[in-house]
Amino acid sequence: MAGDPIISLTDVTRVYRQGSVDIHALRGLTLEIEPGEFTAVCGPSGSGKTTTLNLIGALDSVTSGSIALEGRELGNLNKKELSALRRDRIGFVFQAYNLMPVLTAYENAEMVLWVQGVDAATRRERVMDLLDQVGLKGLEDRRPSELSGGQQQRVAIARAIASNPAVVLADEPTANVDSETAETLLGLMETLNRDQGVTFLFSTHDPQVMERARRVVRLVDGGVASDERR
Amino acid sequence: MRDLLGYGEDEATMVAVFLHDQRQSGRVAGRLDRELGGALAAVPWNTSQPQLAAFIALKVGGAVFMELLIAVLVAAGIFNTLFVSVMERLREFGIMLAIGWSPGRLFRLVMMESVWLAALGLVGAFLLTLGPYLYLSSTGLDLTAVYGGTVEVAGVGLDPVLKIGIFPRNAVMIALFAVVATLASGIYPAWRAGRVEPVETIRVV
Ligand SMILES: Nc1ncnc2c1ncn2[C@@H]1O[C@H](COP(=O)(O)OP(=O)(O)OP(=O)(O)O)[C@@H](O)[C@H]1O
Ligand SMILES: [Mg+2]
Repeated sequence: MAGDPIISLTDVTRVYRQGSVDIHALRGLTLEIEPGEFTAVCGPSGSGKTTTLNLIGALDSVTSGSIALEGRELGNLNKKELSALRRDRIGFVFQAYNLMPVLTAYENAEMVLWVQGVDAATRRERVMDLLDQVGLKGLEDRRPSELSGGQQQRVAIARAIASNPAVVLADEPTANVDSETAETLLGLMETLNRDQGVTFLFSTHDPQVMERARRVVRLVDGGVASDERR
Repeated sequence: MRDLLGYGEDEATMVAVFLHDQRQSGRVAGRLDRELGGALAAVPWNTSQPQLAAFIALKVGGAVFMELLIAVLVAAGIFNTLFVSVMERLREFGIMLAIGWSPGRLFRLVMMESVWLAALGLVGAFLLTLGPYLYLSSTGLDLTAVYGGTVEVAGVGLDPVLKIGIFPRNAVMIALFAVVATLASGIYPAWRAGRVEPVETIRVV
């Protein structure tokens, strides 16, 4: 392993309190992700995949242990810094797409650049290029409700990579689409990974999707059960 | 009357001075009083007509109470509108927070919406009231039929044709109050928008 990891989790635990019972979602998870990796996190339901991705994405915070993104300790950042980190360094792709329903495909992809304060001309150029890359040329003015699930997820991928993030976190990105669409979405992610060096970390239940990952981390009961590169 | 009391043509016990703006009466009376010296006294209308003054004060007090009540109702209405519109968009706010909006930015976004609401309300209210106001201030409302002739309060005859007028200063005050009420009603919904937990809103169930 050469160079510094882009993500490192050290002995991370996450305990949810539900009423009077403690749910140990993660029990001492340690994991490092290198820049440019294309990693699938798999494991049975409830093994902690979503929890792990939410923690790395600074949407949730650890009960104990530590997480660093590009060497920055998340636990040391305040709310505002975490927002900026999510805006500039992390791209999210969600299972349920989670696009803004009132915005067009173009505007959805543009919104991160807009918050970043990128000027209009640069935004336009970048978004047109992005939508072209994800194969949505000509559909810029469609709203999510006028797009298929696969197309919506392409918009979400365009939105996720718009800011040139350090890593794209995708929680079951193909769970809501048919297997053919899943194949093409994965192909798109592979292309972005190979050609632009975007680091992807995604969770999945789908053996067909795991098949195409270059590293598969298997979680069981909130810990790493196996970790193989190929 | 004059003959009866034995007054000459140029004699009087009381001289009424009419002003354009009753709000000046205190000042004008004070100045007149000083210039007239000790022999004569000048008093503002509310001192010479205490009963009329009391009647008007009562009316004004009632109106202020009504205005406050209406203001509270209006503020509640605006609050409700903004709050519902925020609650309906919790999911969107969750997504926005997830992809890098800061709570402060969402706060400003929702506050901007209340600014627009206030601006829209002001323009709308102005356009709606302009017609009736112009009519009531020029033609007025003829209450002769209601009161059957003259109207008198505390011995002072009133014109049965009711005309309204609003001091520009009061109009500005009302507008300012409406804007402040709108903005104040927006604070909680705006704060609430930034408090959404993205993890909750993006969860798939
Ligand atoms: N907000 C929460 N409150 C309480 N318990 C939670 C919460 N979120 C997750 N859990 C629990 O933590 C454990 C890990 O959940 P997590 O969602 O990370 O699993 P997962 O691997 O993503 O599962 P799935 O494959 O079903 O998506 C589960 O037992 C879950 O019930
Ligand atoms: Mg999950």
